[in-house]
This record gives sequence, C-alpha cells and structure tokens, in this order.
Amino acid sequence: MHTPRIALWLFGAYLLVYVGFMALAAFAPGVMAATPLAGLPVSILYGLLLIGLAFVLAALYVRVAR
Amino acid sequence: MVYVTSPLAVGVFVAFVLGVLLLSWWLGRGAQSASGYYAAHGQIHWFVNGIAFAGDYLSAASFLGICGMIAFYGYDGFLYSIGYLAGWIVALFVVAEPLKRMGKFTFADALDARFHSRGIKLAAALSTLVVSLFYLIPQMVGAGVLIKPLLGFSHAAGVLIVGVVVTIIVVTAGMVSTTWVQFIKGGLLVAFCLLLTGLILRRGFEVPPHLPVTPLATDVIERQGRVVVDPDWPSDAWLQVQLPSGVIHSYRRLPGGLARLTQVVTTGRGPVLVDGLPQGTGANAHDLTPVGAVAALPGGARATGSLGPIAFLRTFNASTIETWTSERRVLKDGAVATVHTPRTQTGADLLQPGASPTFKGVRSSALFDKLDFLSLMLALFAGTASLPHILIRYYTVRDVMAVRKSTVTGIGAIGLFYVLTLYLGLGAMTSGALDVTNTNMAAPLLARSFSEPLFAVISAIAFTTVLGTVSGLILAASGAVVHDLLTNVWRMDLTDDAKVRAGKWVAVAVGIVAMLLGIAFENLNVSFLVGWAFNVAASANLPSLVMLLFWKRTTKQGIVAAIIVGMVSSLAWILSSAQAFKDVYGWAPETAPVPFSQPGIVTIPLGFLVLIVVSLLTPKPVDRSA
Repeated sequence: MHTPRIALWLFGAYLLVYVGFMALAAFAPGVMAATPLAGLPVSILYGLLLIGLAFVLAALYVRVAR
Repeated sequence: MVYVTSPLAVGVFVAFVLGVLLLSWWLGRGAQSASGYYAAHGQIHWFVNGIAFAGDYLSAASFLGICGMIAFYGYDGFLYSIGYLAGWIVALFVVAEPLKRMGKFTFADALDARFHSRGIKLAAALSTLVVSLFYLIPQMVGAGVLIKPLLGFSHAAGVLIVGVVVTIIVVTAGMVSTTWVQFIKGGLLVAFCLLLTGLILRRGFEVPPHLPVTPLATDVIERQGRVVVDPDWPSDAWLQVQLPSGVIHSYRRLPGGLARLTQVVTTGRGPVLVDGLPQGTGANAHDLTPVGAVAALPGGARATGSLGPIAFLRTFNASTIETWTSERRVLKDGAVATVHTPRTQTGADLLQPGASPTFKGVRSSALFDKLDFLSLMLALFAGTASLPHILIRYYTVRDVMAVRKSTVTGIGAIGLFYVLTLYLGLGAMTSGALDVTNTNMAAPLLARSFSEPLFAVISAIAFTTVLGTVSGLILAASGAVVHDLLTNVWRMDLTDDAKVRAGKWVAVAVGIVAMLLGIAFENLNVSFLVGWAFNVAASANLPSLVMLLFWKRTTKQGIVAAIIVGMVSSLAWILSSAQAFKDVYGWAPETAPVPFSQPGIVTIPLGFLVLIVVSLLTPKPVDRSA
C-alpha cells in the first residue's frame, strides 16, 4: 500500500503553490491587484494557473508513474 | 421575480427526466449482486468513470451557487472554484491509490484493512452517514430552488419530486445506472457551459441607455407623478413618487439635489409587494426589474462587439459595473421592506477577493477575520478527498492505472467547467437578466437572455445535476449502513441477495430523511452549507486516512478517536457559529461562542493531534505484513 514517491513530490509542489495563493490573497492584496500580463490581474492569472497546474501535474503523473 | 412557466421549458424538462430514468433502468438491468450494486463490478471504463466524477462532483451548489456568487460578488465565487478543484490533487496524489488497494466497497473497508476492528468500522460508517446527510441538505434545497421558478411548484413539491425520482434510480439499479446518469449529466453540463460561454464572448459588453444607478435630479423625479408622504420613509433620506399605474418608486436622496432609484420588496402585509403593488404581472401588479449591467466601458465606448476569452476579462477589469446591495428596513406596522439599491463598482475591484459577505474578512486588518477565509480555503482543499460519495467511485474501475486515468479525466472536465464558471458568472453579472432577490437563478436567467429553449435545456441539466449528486450520496449512505454497520459491526450474516435488498430499503429511508431535511432547511444559503459539509468531511476523515497511510505507529484506538473528535468538534463548532445563530436559530449573531464560522483550520489539526496522542498512548499495532 505504498504510494509512488513521485506522487508525494507532485503533491508537495502543488501545496506550495496553493499556500502561496492563500498567503497573497490574505496578506498582499496589492500584489493580487497588479496587472503584469495581458492586462489581467494577478488574482485571475494565479487562479487560472492553479486550475491548469492541477491538470498538468495529474497528466504528468499518469505518464511517469508505473 | 415572477417566472412565467413556458410549455417548452416544462416539455424539455419532463423529456429529460423521463429519458434519464429510462436510460438508468436500461443500463442497470444487469446489476444483481452486491458488488454490482455498490461498485458496478469494478468494470466501468476509466473515461466514463472520469466524466462521472465530474457529474458526481459538480453539484447544484457548484453550478447554481458558484455562478450566482460570481454574478453578484465577482471573484469570491471563483475562490470556491479554485478550492474545489485543488482538492482533487489531494485525492489523486495522496489517498486514491492506497484506498483502491485496500478497500472493497466503502471507505470504512479501506480504513479498517489493517486492523479488522469493529470500532473503526462503526466510526467510519457514522462519519459517512453524517457527511452524506450534511451534503444532501444543500442538494435538496437546491432542487426546490430550481423547481419553483421553472415549473411553478412549491419548494416542498420540488424537493419531493427530486427525492422520489432519485430513490427510484438508486433502488432500480445501483451503481451502474448511477454512474451512467452522472456521466451523461457531467458531459452535458460541460458542453452546454461551453456553448453559453461562446455566446457570451460573441455578445461582448454593452452599456444600456438608461441605468438605475445613474442619479436623476429631484425636480425631474417629482414631475413623474404624485409625491408620497410616508413616515416610514423620512423625506430627508427618501423621495417616493407614485406613478399613474400605482407603482411607488422609492428614490434614495444623494447630495446635490440628486436621487437614485431603488427596488423595494415588502413582506408581512399579506401578499408580497413590489414597489407598493402585489408582485405579479398584468394590471394592478408589478414585478422586479431584471438587473446587471456595465455602467461604463474603457475609453467611453458604448459596446465592444465580440471579444476573445482574454480580451473579455481584460475589458471587464477596466470597466465599471452596476451591482446591487440589499438592506432590510423594519417598518412601523412590523412589515419588512427589503431595499435593493444599485451602486457602481470597478471591474478591478470585483476581480479581487473579499467583495462578498462570506469572504469580506480577507480585507479586514485583523488576523482573526482573515482566519475565516484561510480556514474555508483549507477545508475546500482537504475536503474533496474525504467525501464518501467521491471515494466510492474509486471502486468502480478495474485497477490502480484506471483510477489514475479516470482522475485525470475528471480533473480535466471539472477544471474546464470551473474556468467556464468565471465567464458564466461575469456574463450573468452584465446580462441585464438577473433577479436581484435570488442569486441561485443567475445561470438559468443568463441562458434565458439568449433564448428560451436554451433556458429550458440549462434548467433541465441543472435538475439532472441534482439527481446525479443526490443518487451518489444516497448510495454512499446505503453502503455505509448495510456493508459497514449491518454486516461488519453487528456481524449479521447476510446473503448477497439480502445485502442488495437491505441496501434498497436503506436507500428509501435515507431518501425520505433527505426530503424532510430539504423541506425543513428551505431558507439556508446553499453554497454556504456545502462549505460546511467540506469542513466536516475533512475534519472527520482526512487525519485518519493520511496518518494510516504514512505513519506506521497509528493504532486503531487512534483512528477511532480522531474520527469521532474531528466529526463532533467540527459539527459543534458549526452549530455554535455566528452564521448558525443568525440563519438557523434566528438568534443574535454576536452571542455566538466561536470566533469565526469555518472550523477547518482548528478541527483538522485537532484530528491529527488526537490521532497521534491516542496512538502513542495505546500499544503498538502488530505488523501483519511481516
């Protein structure tokens, strides 16, 4: 009943990105409101990143883990 | 708003429900054994199972609640989308595979695989029942909310229809047909949301000519009709004018001889009054005006024409939007007037967290207020992997590889849907079609702003959404009672046949309880309830799931204690929160004993702590694998 090690690494990576999001939202509203790319605010970019990243990591896992 | 029932909507709706029933009966006719009833023989194809994950997970609260929340408060609804999706990472990387390897039909099986303890089975079955019922309440309430405007039935009738149809689905066929219902509905939901998003992008934004938010000069207003003098509406703050039709327009006075039009709903004087006349259509009746508009576009443009997906968000961020706030005023005769007032908000502000009542603490400077936000985000992240009706879906496919592939398919479909909710919500916010009194109707009303048949189809899909989720939940609860409680805790010796029969009786009983709760909790906020269910699920189930997998010193006493403490503490916290005081009991929210309403940030670590302490105090488990 062991889980492949790579799964835990991927989980850890995603957790960091998610915690970063929570921290920005709670403690750095100025950063969230900045518009660094395509005129879109960080809040939207980061949210879309979290959704996209979940799919990318999951797909990567299926390719890599055996 | 009064919703006119269209024969087309009713026709499409009835065809949908009958079609789903027929299909579920036809597909499920082969399921006779217990493994067929609860786990579809483990033979569902991974792709079908993946889309069924989406169908299972995208509940009425996801579809109606999130779209509505974005349509009224912007980014805060999208926070739910992000948290709900992120939870799948925990499910895939941490709990899914060990669970698949250890279990048979239920989550309790898996937890207990190493210990064979009746205590664990009992605790796990109880938490499955509690979480399923907690999650069932918002689904049933959502069904009532949906039926009322669509078919013109009462809330109770809506709940009864859902309850009966779902119980029939579950009793006639079990997991095979439930899976197919969820597959169909998950696929349709994503497809039609894509279509709607395409229509929104093609329409772009447009500033309508006359907006209520635009202030008028008071002398212009006074010439529209007869000025009303009413001590309930002091004339230093209000200006009321009765038009020849009988409608009383209430204007809120602004500085500089200007005033702004509001919409007033009065209850407690017999029929519901809208701007002074009974709510309805035709002569001597009046209804709320649909709302939701762009007040100004960047560069002073009047309309944008069609936009790409990025340009849509960029334009929104640079626009000014008319949004509405509500305020309750108790009048002298005890009647209650709800005043809906327009205001302008910048798009940039609406695309930041903290604009809604649920998340407003994030903008406060006090750390305690921020904890509520952090706690909910934590519960959403940890809750998905602890939901019993999601966990059972890991037993419907053949092997671990199929588990992975179906989860990836699920994440893809669900992630796409959640990105679309952003467009649907912002599209609804600027559609001019919103009902200012009902956030849950935003998505269906948005569809109606395009065409009536689309409205009918979207409503029917939303209703099958409720059916799919509710049938999954009832099945999970039935599995917990029959498989875990009857067979494993009370050691009843049931044949395979008897198990399936007992499961069906339990499904009927759970269905009846769910209907009663759905009727009793009519006035509770749907998406808020779902957040609570995630809190309870994560607090009760996650500590023991995770520790069992990653800490060899875990003992059975530790698991039992963690489940019970996590479940009881999170429930107790919720029931004594300010929100419960205000919305459930009708007491003063200031008297609530707990400091914020989302328990997860306290009770999830508490569950881990209890598990570790109790495990260390009890004898080491014997290693059976050695």
